[in-house]
Amino acid sequence: MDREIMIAKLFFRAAFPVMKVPLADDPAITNAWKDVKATVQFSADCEPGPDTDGQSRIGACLHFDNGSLEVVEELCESPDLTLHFGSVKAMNTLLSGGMALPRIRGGLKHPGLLVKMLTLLMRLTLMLPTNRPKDPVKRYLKVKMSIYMITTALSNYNRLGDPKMREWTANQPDRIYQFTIATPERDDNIAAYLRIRGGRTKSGRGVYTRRRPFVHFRFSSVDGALKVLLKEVEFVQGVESGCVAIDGSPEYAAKLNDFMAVIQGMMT
Amino acid sequence: MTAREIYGRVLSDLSDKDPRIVGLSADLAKSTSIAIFEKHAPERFFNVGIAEQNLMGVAAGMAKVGLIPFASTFAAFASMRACEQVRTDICYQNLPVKIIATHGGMSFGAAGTTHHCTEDLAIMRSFANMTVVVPADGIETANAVRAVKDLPGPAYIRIGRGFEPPFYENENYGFQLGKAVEVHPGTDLTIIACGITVLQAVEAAKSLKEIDGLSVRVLNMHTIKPIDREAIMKAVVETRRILTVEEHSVLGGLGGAVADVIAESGKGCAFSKAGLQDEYALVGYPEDLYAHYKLDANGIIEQVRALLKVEFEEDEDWNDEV
Repeated sequence: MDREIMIAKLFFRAAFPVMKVPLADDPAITNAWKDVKATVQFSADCEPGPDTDGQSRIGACLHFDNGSLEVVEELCESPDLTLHFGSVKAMNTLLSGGMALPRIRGGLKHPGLLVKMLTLLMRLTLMLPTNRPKDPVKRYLKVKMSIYMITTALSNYNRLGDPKMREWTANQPDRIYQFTIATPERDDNIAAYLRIRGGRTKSGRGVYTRRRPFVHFRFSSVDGALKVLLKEVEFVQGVESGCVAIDGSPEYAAKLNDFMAVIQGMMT
Repeated sequence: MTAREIYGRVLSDLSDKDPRIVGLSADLAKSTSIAIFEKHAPERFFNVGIAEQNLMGVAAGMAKVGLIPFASTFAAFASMRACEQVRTDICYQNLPVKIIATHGGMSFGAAGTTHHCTEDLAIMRSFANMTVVVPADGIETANAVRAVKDLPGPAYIRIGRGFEPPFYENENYGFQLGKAVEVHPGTDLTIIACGITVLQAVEAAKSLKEIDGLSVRVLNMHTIKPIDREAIMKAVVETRRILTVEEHSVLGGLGGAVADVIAESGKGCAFSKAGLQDEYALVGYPEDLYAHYKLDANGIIEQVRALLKVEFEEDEDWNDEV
């Protein structure tokens, strides 16, 4: 698959759904979107080909409904707001925190929606390695969003056919790669998992309870997780310093970490 | 700290109090972590070179003159290359040589069958006078090393490669040679495990409770010989179903020892042995092998369900949760 198309699809499938986290957990965002019912479309021109089902545009629609969000990876007929890019690369540049200007349709008609959308997009930049929030709420959001995003991105990296990922998942029996971050200051811990079986993958939220994890990445705290995510410490140092403990196969943990680094490199 | 490293440190500590302790290696001091002792007491450490038979012979001689030798090498070499010397030089004379065998079972993974060791428990158990211990983790290794030091006869302690996750939080759980530890309560079935499978068995027991509502007891049978007959028979009477789990052939190891006790008692129970089913292990990462041979938590769960004839519907939902 074309690299830029793959990156765009990873944003659609893995990054956009993560907007649900600030919608639910960030009081300012929750409040701003609680009564909004609207559809926002992201689209970009592209070369028609097999990766785009012969279409000259790719895109995704975000359906907001009173605080809830559904992401659909297709163009819709009458979005309230459209952010259209001249190329997939330009769209990816903006979504990965760079500079690119989209053509905006519906902004004049729905200026409030545009402002809210841009604010929400800014929340996505929390996941960038260069973003080092001090505010505890934002630090929590960064970790939760990052873990949710990376597990979904890993699953879709496989679904989208990356050869190395496909090869790695192909022969694995039913296995759970679990991530948990202890957050004693809150009622619930942050948890997400990647399930693999015979080339199939699934990302999930929370702790998978029907099987024991094959590899369990246990982050000691939000701060411990941030040290690793922000690369303040290398993964091995993170283990040595107690930021993260790994239960299970060190070899498979290292391989998964390699794929995570590749995806992070693509999306930032 | 790994079990090997803990062993090296405990041995160093013990040597401060007991001048009879000496350490020996067959050119694997670093790999078996007895190098920690070598650094601590270099005048009491002896590297015999790549010559495991000599390692055991020299250790026997040292024991004969009143020393307490701790001989360290890989399990495959300790139990098979030096088999005759362990039997004749050490066990036959009932000498207090302590053999610390690292990289037991399939923990050497990709190094292959030559370096796997899935027969040692059967071999060592068959030698008269020998005590055989398979600690669950590093902390239990520390307890085992201390416990065997003053045994009048030989002992074989089998540990892994060093990446095994910890099981115990501290050393104060009542370790006693020859006495199993109940590490998870249960009444429907008992899993009797040793070594790295203890943690996996407990994880399995937790899942079986959560998912299937089964009450599974887990015994950490750290001492394979002398085996805790009382704990086995209590489990037979109270749970009526026994599954043994070991990183070893099912022939002659923990499963064999437990089967002997049950058969000799005349009591009947449902019984199954998890381990290598009369075969050599494949070559691969240890965790792949544990999963393949159903020695990880998920594999143990499968085997418990099979023994109890519990049906389980696979999860076929492959849609990403977003």
